Amino acid sequence: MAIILEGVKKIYPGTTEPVMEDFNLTIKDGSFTVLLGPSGCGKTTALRMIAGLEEVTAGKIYIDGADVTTVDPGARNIAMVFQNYAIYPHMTVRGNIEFGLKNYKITKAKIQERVNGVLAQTGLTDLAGRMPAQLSGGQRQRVALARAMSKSPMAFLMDEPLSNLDAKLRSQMRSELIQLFDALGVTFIYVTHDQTEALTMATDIVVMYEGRIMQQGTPQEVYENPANIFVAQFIGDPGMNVLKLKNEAFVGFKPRALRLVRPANGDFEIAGQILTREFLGHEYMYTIDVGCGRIVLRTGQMIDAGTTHTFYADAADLCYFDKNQNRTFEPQQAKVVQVFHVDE
Amino acid sequence: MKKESILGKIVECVFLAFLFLLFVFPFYWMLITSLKTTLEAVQFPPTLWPSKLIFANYADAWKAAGFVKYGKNTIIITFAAVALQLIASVPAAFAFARMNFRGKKLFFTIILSDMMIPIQAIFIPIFLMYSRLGWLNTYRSMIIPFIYSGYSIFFMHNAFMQVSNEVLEAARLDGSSELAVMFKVIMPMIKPVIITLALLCFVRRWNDYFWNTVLTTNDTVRTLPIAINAITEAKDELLRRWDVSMAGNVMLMAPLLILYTVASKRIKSAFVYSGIK
Ligand SMILES: Nc1ncnc2c1ncn2[C@@H]1O[C@H](COP(=O)(O)OP(=O)(O)OP(=O)(O)O)[C@@H](O)[C@H]1O
Ligand SMILES: [Mg+2]
Repeated sequence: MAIILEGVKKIYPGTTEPVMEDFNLTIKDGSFTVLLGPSGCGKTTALRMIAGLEEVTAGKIYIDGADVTTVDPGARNIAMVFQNYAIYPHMTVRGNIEFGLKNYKITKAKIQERVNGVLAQTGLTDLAGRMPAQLSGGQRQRVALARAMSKSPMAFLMDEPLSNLDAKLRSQMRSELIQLFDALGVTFIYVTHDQTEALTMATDIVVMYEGRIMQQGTPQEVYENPANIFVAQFIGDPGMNVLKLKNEAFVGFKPRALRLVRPANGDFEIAGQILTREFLGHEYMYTIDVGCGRIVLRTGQMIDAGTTHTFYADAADLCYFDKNQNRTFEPQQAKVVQVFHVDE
Repeated sequence: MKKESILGKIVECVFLAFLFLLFVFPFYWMLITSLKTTLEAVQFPPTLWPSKLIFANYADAWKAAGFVKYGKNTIIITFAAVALQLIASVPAAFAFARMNFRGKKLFFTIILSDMMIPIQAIFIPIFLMYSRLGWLNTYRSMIIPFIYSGYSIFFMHNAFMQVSNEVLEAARLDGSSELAVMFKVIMPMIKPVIITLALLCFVRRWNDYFWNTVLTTNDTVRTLPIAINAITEAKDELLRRWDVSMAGNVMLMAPLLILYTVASKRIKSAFVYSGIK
């Protein structure tokens, strides 16, 4: 079911500055939409307004065509998985899953059937009688997921559900979430500030910054074709090097696009001295002083720190931005004046 | 290093033993006095163990203090006050801790400041008011004033504040009404606190002396603490009957000790499962 936020404004009680204003977002039916952005950009706020846990100051929220702006959270046909799991500590695993179902008009037999179903699906059958205090973090996360699944919601909302898990468990849960998404075919809305999570799981990424949507698109679109400098620098590890030009426009390229030999249609070159070298396992990351700032290079080639080189980039690897920091497809040829960072 | 830690242990043990004696001695004194003869109870220097155990003191106390009549009063008043106080404080504390409404801060401040006023400072106007209402010597006057307790509301409020908001939100998303959130989620989560509060409230009402004395002019609704105290005041005896009085006190305390034991078991088992937030 599609979820639409229309002209949404949010001012928290007791504050004067809106967290977001005239916020418009359409989440496609059956998409795995990830809200991605730095801390404090309003991802959680947006998610909680969709869930009905936070009131909107102005604007409307539609779920499946119906205006739910003032509908209770329990009546929105959605389920949410919280960062700290938020499972009921005084109920067994089974009790946690049953609790919500008992609030809806479902027969006892049906409830048991559903509970047993999700317990089996999430591999919790053997732990059904345990109390949450007797479970590991990963198992608790699974209970939270099972509880959400049991309601057969039209949409799953998740707020950084994996951030409390260790790296191994996190990547395991990532692939389980993808499988779950494929199996259920309902809308997932997932909040994170971890772009790996976003790029690996999403069908749709919404990049947010300071309460605004900077770009919405598939992971490929957002990664390959950033709509503005913020997205260019936010996505990638690290993000694009962006250089300010004399005519106020900008040119950007990914750290891997930089090379030491002039390519056939080399369109860009810059001289610089290697400051540091970091070994990443399969390649190196270098920080280069180019006189008007520092840029980053990633390559498998071994270069000595302290040496000076000319670095090149292929025309196809260059992204241009106009003076408003939005993407432009007209090549800019002016002289580089400064290395630019959006959030400094 | 090792020497110091042994010394530290010794100091700790001595200190704990001292505290133990400090707390337990009065109980021990009460118990042995209740088993002495009237003469031995007032003898100087006092004996640390009765030369002869007089169990008949208990039967005397039972009769002298009118345990049946005053015990009934005590039980009615205590149970009613505790139950009603909990019924009123829990939702009030929930609202203060977990809901937003106009005047919340003001009302909470009033409740907090009320906690700081000792009853002794205001009992005269209260006495006059109740006497005009014709409430002296009634159960009403022993129960109704204790339905509201700033202390209980404050105590519970703090417990409610400790509960993670997200668990409550999860319950709302699960389709629970606010009442269901309170009864089915937050109250079971803070069960140890509720039991503790009930216990504190019970002990206060059970042992109450002041209020019951002030608002009674005859013995219709008088309670055990007053009746037991009266044993030593009896004019027709030659000696004050400390032995019988202490026997009465032991019987007065016994239900509290049993309650403590039961409650502390409950509190411990409830804590095990509320460990995660
Ligand atoms: N209850 C609140 N009262 C006042 N301001 C709030 C409240 N909750 C959030 N904010 C503010 O709203 C802004 C957005 O917060 P939000 O929690 O939505 O960010 P986020 O994108 O989820 O960040 P994070 O990645 O750190 O979780 C922040 O500036 C935050 O300080
Ligand atoms: Mg957040």
